[in-house]
Amino acid sequence: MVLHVRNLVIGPAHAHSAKRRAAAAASGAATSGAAAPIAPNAIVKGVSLDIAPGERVGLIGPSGAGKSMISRAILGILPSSLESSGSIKLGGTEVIGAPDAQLADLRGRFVSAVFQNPGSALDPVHTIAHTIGLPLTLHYDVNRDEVHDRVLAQMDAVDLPRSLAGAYPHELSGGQRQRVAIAAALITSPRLIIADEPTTALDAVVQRDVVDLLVRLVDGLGASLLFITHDFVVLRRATTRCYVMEHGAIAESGETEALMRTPQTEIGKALVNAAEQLTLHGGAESGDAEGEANHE
Amino acid sequence: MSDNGKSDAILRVSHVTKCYRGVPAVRDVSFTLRRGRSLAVIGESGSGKTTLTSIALGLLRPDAGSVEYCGGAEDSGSTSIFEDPAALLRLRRESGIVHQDPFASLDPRWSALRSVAEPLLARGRAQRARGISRTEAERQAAQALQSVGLDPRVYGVRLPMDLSGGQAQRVAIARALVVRPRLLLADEPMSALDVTARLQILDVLGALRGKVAMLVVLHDLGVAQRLADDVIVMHHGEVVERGTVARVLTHPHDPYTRRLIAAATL
Repeated sequence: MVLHVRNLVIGPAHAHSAKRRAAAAASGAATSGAAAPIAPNAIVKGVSLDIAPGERVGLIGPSGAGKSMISRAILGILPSSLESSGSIKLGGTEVIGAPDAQLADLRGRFVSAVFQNPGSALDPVHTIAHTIGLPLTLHYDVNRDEVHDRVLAQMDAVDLPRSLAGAYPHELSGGQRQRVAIAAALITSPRLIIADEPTTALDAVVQRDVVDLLVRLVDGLGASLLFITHDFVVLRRATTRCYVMEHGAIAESGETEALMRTPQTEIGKALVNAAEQLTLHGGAESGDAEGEANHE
Repeated sequence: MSDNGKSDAILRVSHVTKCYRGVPAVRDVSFTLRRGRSLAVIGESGSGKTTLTSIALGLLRPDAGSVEYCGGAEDSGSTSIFEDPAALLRLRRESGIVHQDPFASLDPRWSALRSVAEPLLARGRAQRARGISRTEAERQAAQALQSVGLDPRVYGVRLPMDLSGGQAQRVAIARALVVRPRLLLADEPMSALDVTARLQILDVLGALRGKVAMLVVLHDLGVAQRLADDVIVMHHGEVVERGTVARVLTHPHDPYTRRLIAAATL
Protein backbone atom coordinates (compact mmCIF):
# COMPACT_ATOMS: atom_id res chain seq x y z
CA MET A 1 0.00 0.00 0.00
CA VAL A 2 1.12 3.54 -0.76
CA LEU A 3 -1.01 4.81 2.11
CA HIS A 4 -2.31 2.71 4.98
CA VAL A 5 -4.28 4.50 7.72
CA ARG A 6 -5.69 2.66 10.72
CA ASN A 7 -7.85 4.00 13.55
CA LEU A 8 -6.68 7.57 13.05
CA VAL A 9 -7.92 9.86 15.80
CA ILE A 10 -7.20 13.59 15.74
CA GLY A 11 -8.21 15.83 18.61
CA PRO A 12 -7.15 18.75 20.77
CA ALA A 13 -3.71 18.30 22.33
CA HIS A 14 -4.01 18.48 26.10
CA ALA A 15 -2.90 16.64 29.20
CA HIS A 16 -5.92 14.38 29.29
CA SER A 17 -5.36 13.06 25.81
CA ALA A 18 -1.61 12.76 26.50
CA LYS A 19 -2.45 10.44 29.39
CA ARG A 20 -4.81 8.53 27.14
CA ARG A 21 -2.07 8.22 24.52
CA ALA A 22 0.45 7.10 27.13
CA ALA A 23 -1.99 4.44 28.31
CA ALA A 24 -2.56 3.33 24.74
CA ALA A 25 1.19 3.22 24.09
CA ALA A 26 1.71 1.14 27.22
CA SER A 27 -0.79 -1.37 25.91
CA GLY A 28 0.84 -1.35 22.47
CA ALA A 29 -2.13 0.33 20.74
CA ALA A 30 -0.18 3.34 19.45
CA THR A 31 2.19 1.22 17.44
CA SER A 32 -0.15 -1.54 16.38
CA GLY A 33 -2.86 0.84 15.22
CA ALA A 34 -5.42 -0.87 17.44
CA ALA A 35 -8.41 1.21 18.48
CA ALA A 36 -7.79 3.61 21.36
CA PRO A 37 -10.55 5.37 23.32
CA ILE A 38 -11.90 8.31 21.33
CA ALA A 39 -12.48 11.62 23.12
CA PRO A 40 -15.90 13.18 22.49
CA ASN A 41 -14.29 16.38 21.15
CA ALA A 42 -12.10 14.53 18.62
CA ILE A 43 -12.16 15.98 15.08
CA VAL A 44 -11.32 12.67 13.40
CA LYS A 45 -12.75 9.61 15.11
CA GLY A 46 -11.06 6.35 14.18
CA VAL A 47 -10.63 6.63 10.41
CA SER A 48 -9.09 3.78 8.40
CA LEU A 49 -8.33 3.98 4.69
CA ASP A 50 -5.97 2.53 2.09
CA ILE A 51 -4.59 3.65 -1.24
CA ALA A 52 -2.87 1.13 -3.54
CA PRO A 53 -0.09 2.04 -6.01
CA GLY A 54 -1.49 3.89 -9.03
CA GLU A 55 -4.92 4.27 -7.47
CA ARG A 56 -6.89 7.55 -7.45
CA VAL A 57 -9.02 7.75 -4.30
CA GLY A 58 -11.39 10.46 -3.09
CA LEU A 59 -12.23 11.71 0.37
CA ILE A 60 -15.54 13.58 0.22
CA GLY A 61 -17.66 15.25 2.88
CA PRO A 62 -19.18 18.55 3.95
CA SER A 63 -17.19 21.35 5.58
CA GLY A 64 -16.04 20.40 9.06
CA ALA A 65 -16.10 16.64 8.42
CA GLY A 66 -12.36 16.37 9.18
CA LYS A 67 -11.07 15.79 5.62
CA SER A 68 -8.33 18.41 5.66
CA MET A 69 -7.12 17.35 9.09
CA ILE A 70 -6.58 13.84 7.74
CA SER A 71 -4.51 15.22 4.86
CA ARG A 72 -2.46 17.33 7.26
CA ALA A 73 -1.90 14.36 9.56
CA ILE A 74 -0.67 12.28 6.59
CA LEU A 75 1.75 15.07 5.69
CA GLY A 76 2.83 15.44 9.33
CA ILE A 77 1.78 19.09 9.44
CA LEU A 78 -1.04 19.11 11.97
CA PRO A 79 -1.37 22.37 13.94
CA SER A 80 0.41 22.19 17.30
CA SER A 81 -2.97 22.50 19.03
CA LEU A 82 -3.95 19.08 17.66
CA GLU A 83 -2.49 15.64 18.06
CA SER A 84 -3.06 12.32 16.34
CA SER A 85 -3.09 8.68 17.39
CA GLY A 86 -3.50 5.42 15.52
CA SER A 87 -1.33 4.63 12.52
CA ILE A 88 -0.48 6.34 9.21
CA LYS A 89 1.96 4.44 7.02
CA LEU A 90 3.39 6.03 3.89
CA GLY A 91 4.97 3.27 1.84
CA GLY A 92 5.54 1.31 5.04
CA THR A 93 7.01 4.22 7.07
CA GLU A 94 5.04 5.24 10.16
CA VAL A 95 4.24 8.98 10.13
CA ILE A 96 2.77 9.40 13.63
CA GLY A 97 5.60 10.08 16.02
CA ALA A 98 8.25 10.21 13.26
CA PRO A 99 11.06 12.77 13.70
CA ASP A 100 10.78 16.04 11.73
CA ALA A 101 13.76 15.22 9.48
CA GLN A 102 12.19 11.95 8.42
CA LEU A 103 8.86 13.66 7.77
CA ALA A 104 10.55 16.36 5.69
CA ASP A 105 12.26 13.69 3.60
CA LEU A 106 8.97 11.83 3.09
CA ARG A 107 7.26 15.07 2.02
CA GLY A 108 9.94 15.81 -0.54
CA ARG A 109 10.36 12.37 -2.08
CA PHE A 110 7.35 10.18 -1.34
CA VAL A 111 4.34 12.44 -0.87
CA SER A 112 3.47 15.95 -2.01
CA ALA A 113 0.43 18.16 -1.81
CA VAL A 114 -1.64 20.67 -3.76
CA PHE A 115 -3.82 22.92 -1.61
CA GLN A 116 -7.02 24.86 -2.11
CA ASN A 117 -5.79 28.40 -2.50
CA PRO A 118 -2.81 28.68 -4.84
CA GLY A 119 -2.62 32.40 -4.07
CA SER A 120 -1.51 31.71 -0.52
CA ALA A 121 0.31 28.42 -1.25
CA LEU A 122 2.90 30.07 -3.52
CA ASP A 123 5.67 32.26 -2.13
CA PRO A 124 4.99 35.79 -3.46
CA VAL A 125 8.69 36.79 -3.57
CA HIS A 126 9.87 33.83 -5.65
CA THR A 127 9.57 33.44 -9.41
CA ILE A 128 7.51 30.66 -10.88
CA ALA A 129 10.65 28.78 -11.99
CA HIS A 130 12.15 29.01 -8.50
CA THR A 131 8.92 27.73 -6.89
CA ILE A 132 8.61 24.79 -9.25
CA GLY A 133 12.27 23.80 -8.90
CA LEU A 134 12.53 24.23 -5.11
CA PRO A 135 11.46 20.66 -4.09
CA LEU A 136 14.11 19.30 -6.44
CA THR A 137 16.91 21.43 -5.01
CA LEU A 138 15.83 20.73 -1.43
CA HIS A 139 15.58 16.96 -1.68
CA TYR A 140 17.94 15.87 -4.47
CA ASP A 141 21.54 16.55 -5.38
CA VAL A 142 21.09 18.12 -8.81
CA ASN A 143 22.98 20.93 -10.52
CA ARG A 144 21.43 24.22 -11.64
CA ASP A 145 21.31 23.31 -15.32
CA GLU A 146 19.45 20.11 -14.60
CA VAL A 147 16.99 21.92 -12.34
CA HIS A 148 16.46 24.50 -15.08
CA ASP A 149 15.78 21.82 -17.68
CA ARG A 150 13.44 19.89 -15.37
CA VAL A 151 11.53 23.08 -14.50
CA LEU A 152 10.96 23.95 -18.15
CA ALA A 153 9.87 20.37 -18.89
CA GLN A 154 7.50 20.53 -15.95
CA MET A 155 6.06 23.84 -17.18
CA ASP A 156 5.43 22.20 -20.55
CA ALA A 157 3.73 19.28 -18.80
CA VAL A 158 1.26 21.56 -16.99
CA ASP A 159 0.67 23.72 -20.09
CA LEU A 160 2.30 26.84 -18.69
CA PRO A 161 4.08 28.97 -21.31
CA ARG A 162 7.86 29.04 -20.72
CA SER A 163 7.69 32.83 -20.93
CA LEU A 164 6.14 32.79 -17.43
CA ALA A 165 9.27 31.25 -15.85
CA GLY A 166 10.41 34.64 -14.54
CA ALA A 167 6.94 35.81 -13.51
CA TYR A 168 5.70 36.13 -9.92
CA PRO A 169 2.49 34.58 -8.55
CA HIS A 170 0.56 37.87 -8.54
CA GLU A 171 1.05 38.13 -12.30
CA LEU A 172 -0.79 34.84 -12.93
CA SER A 173 -4.46 33.90 -13.04
CA GLY A 174 -5.89 31.51 -10.43
CA GLY A 175 -5.79 28.61 -12.86
CA GLN A 176 -2.17 29.33 -13.82
CA ARG A 177 -1.17 29.53 -10.15
CA GLN A 178 -2.72 26.15 -9.49
CA ARG A 179 -0.77 24.74 -12.46
CA VAL A 180 2.41 26.08 -10.82
CA ALA A 181 1.45 24.34 -7.56
CA ILE A 182 0.83 21.09 -9.45
CA ALA A 183 4.15 21.38 -11.30
CA ALA A 184 6.01 21.90 -8.01
CA ALA A 185 4.17 19.01 -6.37
CA LEU A 186 5.04 16.58 -9.15
CA ILE A 187 8.60 17.58 -10.02
CA THR A 188 10.11 15.06 -7.58
CA SER A 189 7.95 12.25 -9.00
CA PRO A 190 6.31 11.41 -5.64
CA ARG A 191 4.39 8.17 -5.21
CA LEU A 192 1.38 9.87 -3.57
CA ILE A 193 -0.13 13.29 -4.33
CA ILE A 194 -2.62 14.74 -1.88
CA ALA A 195 -4.91 17.28 -3.56
CA ASP A 196 -6.91 19.10 -0.87
CA GLU A 197 -9.81 20.93 -2.55
CA PRO A 198 -7.46 21.99 -5.36
CA THR A 199 -10.23 23.41 -7.54
CA THR A 200 -12.63 24.94 -5.02
CA ALA A 201 -11.22 28.45 -5.49
CA LEU A 202 -11.36 28.19 -9.29
CA ASP A 203 -14.06 28.92 -11.85
CA ALA A 204 -16.07 26.14 -13.43
CA VAL A 205 -14.17 26.00 -16.73
CA VAL A 206 -10.73 26.28 -15.12
CA GLN A 207 -11.79 23.73 -12.49
CA ARG A 208 -12.40 21.06 -15.08
CA ASP A 209 -9.12 21.77 -16.89
CA VAL A 210 -7.11 21.56 -13.66
CA VAL A 211 -8.72 18.26 -12.58
CA ASP A 212 -8.11 16.72 -16.00
CA LEU A 213 -4.49 17.91 -15.93
CA LEU A 214 -3.90 16.48 -12.47
CA VAL A 215 -5.37 13.11 -13.42
CA ARG A 216 -3.30 12.95 -16.63
CA LEU A 217 -0.04 13.76 -14.82
CA VAL A 218 -0.67 11.43 -11.87
CA ASP A 219 -1.51 8.57 -14.21
CA GLY A 220 1.54 9.42 -16.34
CA LEU A 221 3.77 9.11 -13.29
CA GLY A 222 2.08 5.91 -12.15
CA ALA A 223 1.55 7.67 -8.82
CA SER A 224 -1.44 7.52 -6.45
CA LEU A 225 -3.83 10.36 -5.69
CA LEU A 226 -5.81 11.27 -2.59
CA PHE A 227 -8.33 13.85 -3.78
CA ILE A 228 -10.24 15.77 -1.12
CA THR A 229 -13.42 17.63 -2.04
CA HIS A 230 -17.03 18.32 -1.08
CA ASP A 231 -18.25 18.03 -4.64
CA PHE A 232 -19.09 14.75 -6.40
CA VAL A 233 -18.94 16.48 -9.80
CA VAL A 234 -15.22 17.03 -9.34
CA LEU A 235 -14.68 13.72 -7.53
CA ARG A 236 -16.17 11.74 -10.39
CA ARG A 237 -13.60 13.13 -12.84
CA ALA A 238 -10.69 12.70 -10.46
CA THR A 239 -11.14 9.32 -8.78
CA THR A 240 -12.22 5.73 -9.21
CA ARG A 241 -12.89 4.96 -5.55
CA CYS A 242 -13.90 7.13 -2.62
CA TYR A 243 -14.60 7.42 1.09
CA VAL A 244 -17.54 9.57 2.29
CA MET A 245 -16.93 11.36 5.59
CA GLU A 246 -19.20 13.00 8.12
CA HIS A 247 -18.55 14.21 11.67
CA GLY A 248 -15.00 12.89 11.66
CA ALA A 249 -15.80 9.32 10.61
CA ILE A 250 -16.11 7.33 7.38
CA ALA A 251 -19.81 6.95 6.61
CA GLU A 252 -19.41 4.76 3.53
CA SER A 253 -16.94 3.88 0.79
CA GLY A 254 -16.86 2.23 -2.60
CA GLU A 255 -16.29 2.73 -6.32
CA THR A 256 -17.06 6.39 -7.10
CA GLU A 257 -19.47 5.68 -9.96
CA ALA A 258 -21.35 2.96 -8.05
CA LEU A 259 -21.56 5.07 -4.91
CA MET A 260 -22.98 7.97 -6.90
CA ARG A 261 -25.64 5.69 -8.39
CA THR A 262 -26.70 4.14 -5.09
CA PRO A 263 -25.44 6.01 -2.03
CA GLN A 264 -26.25 4.07 1.14
CA THR A 265 -26.03 6.75 3.83
CA GLU A 266 -27.89 10.00 4.42
CA ILE A 267 -24.75 12.07 3.91
CA GLY A 268 -23.89 10.15 0.74
CA LYS A 269 -27.39 10.79 -0.60
CA ALA A 270 -27.23 14.48 0.35
CA LEU A 271 -23.88 14.99 -1.41
CA VAL A 272 -24.98 13.16 -4.56
CA ASN A 273 -28.29 15.05 -4.59
CA ALA A 274 -26.46 18.38 -4.24
CA ALA A 275 -24.18 17.50 -7.16
CA GLU A 276 -27.20 16.66 -9.31
CA GLN A 277 -29.12 19.80 -8.31
CA LEU A 278 -26.19 22.12 -8.96
CA THR A 279 -25.34 20.86 -12.42
CA LEU A 280 -26.98 21.14 -15.82
CA HIS A 281 -29.09 18.28 -17.06
CA GLY A 282 -29.73 18.10 -20.76
CA GLY A 283 -30.09 21.80 -21.46
CA ALA A 284 -32.76 24.22 -20.36
CA GLU A 285 -35.74 23.32 -18.24
CA SER A 286 -37.41 26.64 -17.63
CA GLY A 287 -38.27 29.88 -19.29
CA ASP A 288 -39.09 30.63 -22.88
CA ALA A 289 -36.39 29.09 -25.01
CA GLU A 290 -37.19 31.18 -28.04
CA GLY A 291 -37.39 34.56 -26.39
CA GLU A 292 -34.49 36.93 -26.01
CA ALA A 293 -33.83 38.63 -22.72
CA ASN A 294 -34.68 42.27 -22.43
CA HIS A 295 -31.15 43.47 -22.56
CA GLU A 296 -30.03 46.43 -24.47
CA MET B 1 -41.69 38.64 -19.20
CA SER B 2 -43.36 41.74 -20.48
CA ASP B 3 -41.33 43.95 -22.70
CA ASN B 4 -43.94 46.44 -23.66
CA GLY B 5 -42.31 49.61 -22.49
CA LYS B 6 -39.96 51.01 -19.93
CA SER B 7 -42.35 50.89 -16.97
CA ASP B 8 -41.12 47.55 -15.62
CA ALA B 9 -37.42 48.48 -15.78
CA ILE B 10 -35.80 48.86 -12.37
CA LEU B 11 -32.16 49.30 -13.23
CA ARG B 12 -30.78 50.29 -16.61
CA VAL B 13 -27.03 50.01 -17.19
CA SER B 14 -25.99 51.58 -20.50
CA HIS B 15 -22.66 51.30 -22.34
CA VAL B 16 -20.59 51.14 -19.16
CA THR B 17 -16.80 51.06 -19.42
CA LYS B 18 -14.31 50.98 -16.54
CA CYS B 19 -10.51 50.79 -16.78
CA TYR B 20 -7.88 50.13 -14.12
CA ARG B 21 -4.51 51.70 -15.02
CA GLY B 22 -5.62 51.92 -18.61
CA VAL B 23 -6.68 48.26 -18.81
CA PRO B 24 -10.42 47.85 -19.39
CA ALA B 25 -12.09 45.68 -16.73
CA VAL B 26 -15.54 46.27 -18.20
CA ARG B 27 -16.04 47.40 -21.79
CA ASP B 28 -19.28 48.83 -23.22
CA VAL B 29 -21.66 46.66 -21.18
CA SER B 30 -25.41 47.26 -21.12
CA PHE B 31 -28.31 45.46 -19.48
CA THR B 32 -31.70 46.18 -18.01
CA LEU B 33 -33.01 44.54 -14.86
CA ARG B 34 -36.79 44.32 -14.85
CA ARG B 35 -39.40 43.89 -12.15
CA GLY B 36 -39.81 40.27 -11.11
CA ARG B 37 -36.98 39.06 -13.36
CA SER B 38 -33.77 37.46 -12.30
CA LEU B 39 -30.60 38.21 -14.26
CA ALA B 40 -27.41 36.17 -13.86
CA VAL B 41 -24.03 37.66 -14.69
CA ILE B 42 -21.68 34.78 -15.45
CA GLY B 43 -17.96 34.71 -16.09
CA GLU B 44 -14.62 33.59 -14.73
CA SER B 45 -12.51 35.47 -12.18
CA GLY B 46 -11.25 38.70 -13.69
CA SER B 47 -14.01 38.84 -16.31
CA GLY B 48 -15.38 42.07 -14.83
CA LYS B 49 -18.44 40.73 -13.00
CA THR B 50 -17.77 42.38 -9.66
CA THR B 51 -16.67 45.66 -11.27
CA LEU B 52 -19.92 45.67 -13.23
CA THR B 53 -22.14 45.04 -10.21
CA SER B 54 -20.22 47.62 -8.15
CA ILE B 55 -20.98 50.16 -10.87
CA ALA B 56 -24.61 49.05 -11.03
CA LEU B 57 -25.02 49.78 -7.32
CA GLY B 58 -23.19 53.11 -7.52
CA LEU B 59 -20.24 51.87 -5.47
CA LEU B 60 -17.85 52.55 -8.34
CA ARG B 61 -18.01 55.34 -10.91
CA PRO B 62 -17.57 54.18 -14.54
CA ASP B 63 -15.24 55.93 -16.98
CA ALA B 64 -18.05 56.01 -19.51
CA GLY B 65 -21.72 55.06 -19.65
CA SER B 66 -24.61 55.53 -17.26
CA VAL B 67 -26.74 53.73 -14.66
CA GLU B 68 -30.36 54.71 -14.21
CA TYR B 69 -32.50 53.68 -11.25
CA CYS B 70 -36.11 53.69 -12.32
CA GLY B 71 -39.08 54.33 -10.07
CA GLY B 72 -39.02 53.43 -6.43
CA ALA B 73 -40.89 54.65 -3.38
CA GLU B 74 -40.31 58.37 -3.77
CA ASP B 75 -39.95 58.83 -7.49
CA SER B 76 -41.75 57.55 -10.53
CA GLY B 77 -39.15 58.69 -13.01
CA SER B 78 -35.78 57.35 -14.04
CA THR B 79 -32.61 59.11 -12.97
CA SER B 80 -28.90 58.63 -13.38
CA ILE B 81 -27.45 57.54 -10.06
CA PHE B 82 -24.13 59.22 -10.78
CA GLU B 83 -25.73 62.60 -11.52
CA ASP B 84 -28.57 62.63 -8.99
CA PRO B 85 -27.60 61.82 -5.37
CA ALA B 86 -31.28 61.34 -4.50
CA ALA B 87 -31.57 58.56 -7.08
CA LEU B 88 -28.44 56.88 -5.70
CA LEU B 89 -29.86 57.09 -2.17
CA ARG B 90 -33.16 55.56 -3.35
CA LEU B 91 -31.30 52.73 -5.09
CA ARG B 92 -29.30 51.91 -1.97
CA ARG B 93 -32.30 52.09 0.36
CA GLU B 94 -34.32 49.84 -1.88
CA SER B 95 -31.58 47.26 -2.57
CA GLY B 96 -30.49 44.25 -0.58
CA ILE B 97 -26.99 42.82 -1.01
CA VAL B 98 -25.69 39.32 -0.29
CA HIS B 99 -21.92 38.89 -0.42
CA GLN B 100 -19.81 35.82 -1.19
CA ASP B 101 -18.48 35.03 2.29
CA PRO B 102 -21.11 35.29 5.04
CA PHE B 103 -18.51 35.13 7.80
CA ALA B 104 -16.75 38.17 6.36
CA SER B 105 -19.98 40.11 5.90
CA LEU B 106 -21.65 39.41 9.28
CA ASP B 107 -20.41 41.24 12.36
CA PRO B 108 -18.84 38.50 14.54
CA ARG B 109 -20.04 40.24 17.74
CA TRP B 110 -23.71 40.41 16.78
CA SER B 111 -26.40 37.78 17.13
CA ALA B 112 -28.26 36.72 13.99
CA LEU B 113 -31.35 38.65 15.14
CA ARG B 114 -29.38 41.84 15.68
CA SER B 115 -27.60 41.53 12.32
CA VAL B 116 -30.94 41.19 10.55
CA ALA B 117 -32.61 43.98 12.55
CA GLU B 118 -29.76 46.44 11.99
CA PRO B 119 -30.72 47.65 8.46
CA LEU B 120 -34.18 48.59 9.79
CA LEU B 121 -32.69 50.42 12.77
CA ALA B 122 -30.11 52.14 10.54
CA ARG B 123 -32.87 53.29 8.25
CA GLY B 124 -34.76 54.54 11.29
CA ARG B 125 -31.72 56.49 12.48
CA ALA B 126 -31.37 58.05 9.04
CA GLN B 127 -35.03 59.01 8.86
CA ARG B 128 -35.30 59.95 12.55
CA ALA B 129 -38.99 60.79 13.05
CA ARG B 130 -40.14 57.87 10.92
CA GLY B 131 -37.85 55.33 12.59
CA ILE B 132 -39.22 52.12 14.09
CA SER B 133 -38.70 50.80 17.61
CA ARG B 134 -36.13 48.09 18.38
CA THR B 135 -38.97 45.76 19.35
CA GLU B 136 -40.65 46.21 16.00
CA ALA B 137 -37.31 45.86 14.15
CA GLU B 138 -36.63 42.58 15.97
CA ARG B 139 -40.13 41.34 15.21
CA GLN B 140 -39.58 41.96 11.49
CA ALA B 141 -36.07 40.46 11.74
CA ALA B 142 -37.54 37.31 13.29
CA GLN B 143 -39.99 37.08 10.37
CA ALA B 144 -37.13 37.48 7.91
CA LEU B 145 -35.15 34.69 9.62
CA GLN B 146 -38.22 32.47 9.49
CA SER B 147 -38.60 33.21 5.78
CA VAL B 148 -35.14 31.77 5.07
CA GLY B 149 -35.86 28.64 7.09
CA LEU B 150 -34.18 29.62 10.36
CA ASP B 151 -36.28 29.40 13.53
CA PRO B 152 -35.62 32.79 15.22
CA ARG B 153 -36.07 31.23 18.69
CA VAL B 154 -33.19 28.85 17.97
CA TYR B 155 -30.93 30.82 15.66
CA GLY B 156 -31.78 34.42 16.58
CA VAL B 157 -29.44 34.42 19.58
CA ARG B 158 -26.52 32.73 17.80
CA LEU B 159 -23.31 34.51 16.84
CA PRO B 160 -21.85 33.85 13.36
CA MET B 161 -19.23 31.52 14.91
CA ASP B 162 -22.08 29.29 16.12
CA LEU B 163 -23.58 28.97 12.63
CA SER B 164 -22.66 26.68 9.74
CA GLY B 165 -21.75 28.30 6.41
CA GLY B 166 -25.22 27.69 4.99
CA GLN B 167 -26.93 29.05 8.11
CA ALA B 168 -24.72 32.16 8.12
CA GLN B 169 -25.46 32.85 4.47
CA ARG B 170 -29.19 32.49 5.17
CA VAL B 171 -28.83 35.08 7.93
CA ALA B 172 -27.13 37.36 5.37
CA ILE B 173 -30.02 36.80 2.94
CA ALA B 174 -32.54 37.56 5.71
CA ARG B 175 -30.64 40.79 6.40
CA ALA B 176 -30.89 41.73 2.73
CA LEU B 177 -34.62 40.90 2.59
CA VAL B 178 -35.71 42.57 5.82
CA VAL B 179 -35.93 46.00 4.15
CA ARG B 180 -38.25 44.52 1.48
CA PRO B 181 -35.91 45.48 -1.38
CA ARG B 182 -37.05 46.08 -4.97
CA LEU B 183 -33.68 44.76 -6.09
CA LEU B 184 -31.60 41.95 -4.59
CA LEU B 185 -27.95 41.69 -5.59
CA ALA B 186 -26.17 38.45 -4.74
CA ASP B 187 -22.45 38.39 -5.55
CA GLU B 188 -21.34 34.73 -5.83
CA PRO B 189 -23.60 33.81 -2.88
CA MET B 190 -22.60 30.13 -2.91
CA SER B 191 -18.93 30.11 -3.87
CA ALA B 192 -17.61 30.03 -0.30
CA LEU B 193 -19.90 27.16 0.77
CA ASP B 194 -19.80 23.39 0.43
CA VAL B 195 -22.29 21.69 -1.88
CA THR B 196 -24.87 20.83 0.78
CA ALA B 197 -24.91 24.47 1.98
CA ARG B 198 -25.03 25.64 -1.65
CA LEU B 199 -28.19 23.66 -2.11
CA GLN B 200 -29.79 25.35 0.90
CA ILE B 201 -28.99 28.79 -0.53
CA LEU B 202 -30.19 27.74 -3.96
CA ASP B 203 -33.55 26.78 -2.43
CA VAL B 204 -33.84 30.07 -0.51
CA LEU B 205 -32.92 32.27 -3.48
CA GLY B 206 -34.96 30.11 -5.86
CA ALA B 207 -38.05 30.75 -3.71
CA LEU B 208 -37.55 34.51 -4.23
CA ARG B 209 -37.58 34.18 -8.01
CA GLY B 210 -40.38 36.26 -9.46
CA LYS B 211 -41.00 38.07 -6.17
CA VAL B 212 -38.06 40.45 -6.27
CA ALA B 213 -35.80 41.59 -9.10
CA MET B 214 -32.51 39.72 -8.70
CA LEU B 215 -29.05 40.42 -10.06
CA VAL B 216 -26.98 37.32 -9.31
CA VAL B 217 -23.27 37.05 -10.01
CA LEU B 218 -22.24 33.44 -10.64
CA HIS B 219 -19.53 31.46 -12.33
CA ASP B 220 -21.65 28.40 -12.88
CA LEU B 221 -24.41 27.88 -15.44
CA GLY B 222 -25.87 24.97 -13.46
CA VAL B 223 -26.86 27.38 -10.70
CA ALA B 224 -28.02 30.00 -13.22
CA GLN B 225 -30.42 27.44 -14.66
CA ARG B 226 -32.13 27.20 -11.27
CA LEU B 227 -32.00 30.86 -10.29
CA ALA B 228 -32.21 33.14 -13.29
CA ASP B 229 -34.54 34.01 -16.16
CA ASP B 230 -31.92 35.87 -18.16
CA VAL B 231 -28.16 35.69 -18.39
CA ILE B 232 -25.24 37.72 -19.65
CA VAL B 233 -21.95 35.86 -20.08
CA MET B 234 -18.83 37.99 -19.58
CA HIS B 235 -15.36 37.20 -20.83
CA HIS B 236 -12.40 39.57 -20.53
CA GLY B 237 -14.68 42.48 -19.57
CA GLU B 238 -17.09 42.14 -22.46
CA VAL B 239 -20.48 40.54 -22.87
CA VAL B 240 -19.99 37.60 -25.22
CA GLU B 241 -23.49 36.14 -24.92
CA ARG B 242 -26.89 37.31 -23.66
CA GLY B 243 -30.43 36.02 -23.67
CA THR B 244 -32.83 33.96 -21.65
CA VAL B 245 -31.11 31.20 -19.70
CA ALA B 246 -33.12 28.65 -21.65
CA ARG B 247 -31.98 30.01 -25.02
CA VAL B 248 -28.34 30.35 -24.00
CA LEU B 249 -28.27 26.78 -22.70
CA THR B 250 -29.86 25.27 -25.78
CA HIS B 251 -28.33 27.48 -28.47
CA PRO B 252 -25.10 29.02 -27.23
CA HIS B 253 -23.40 31.24 -29.82
CA ASP B 254 -20.05 31.86 -28.16
CA PRO B 255 -17.29 29.22 -27.71
CA TYR B 256 -16.71 30.35 -24.12
CA THR B 257 -20.39 29.78 -23.30
CA ARG B 258 -20.13 26.30 -24.77
CA ARG B 259 -17.17 25.59 -22.47
CA LEU B 260 -19.17 26.87 -19.49
CA ILE B 261 -22.02 24.52 -20.39
CA ALA B 262 -19.63 21.55 -20.68
CA ALA B 263 -18.08 22.41 -17.31
CA ALA B 264 -21.49 22.56 -15.60
CA THR B 265 -22.65 19.15 -16.78
CA LEU B 266 -22.49 16.22 -14.37
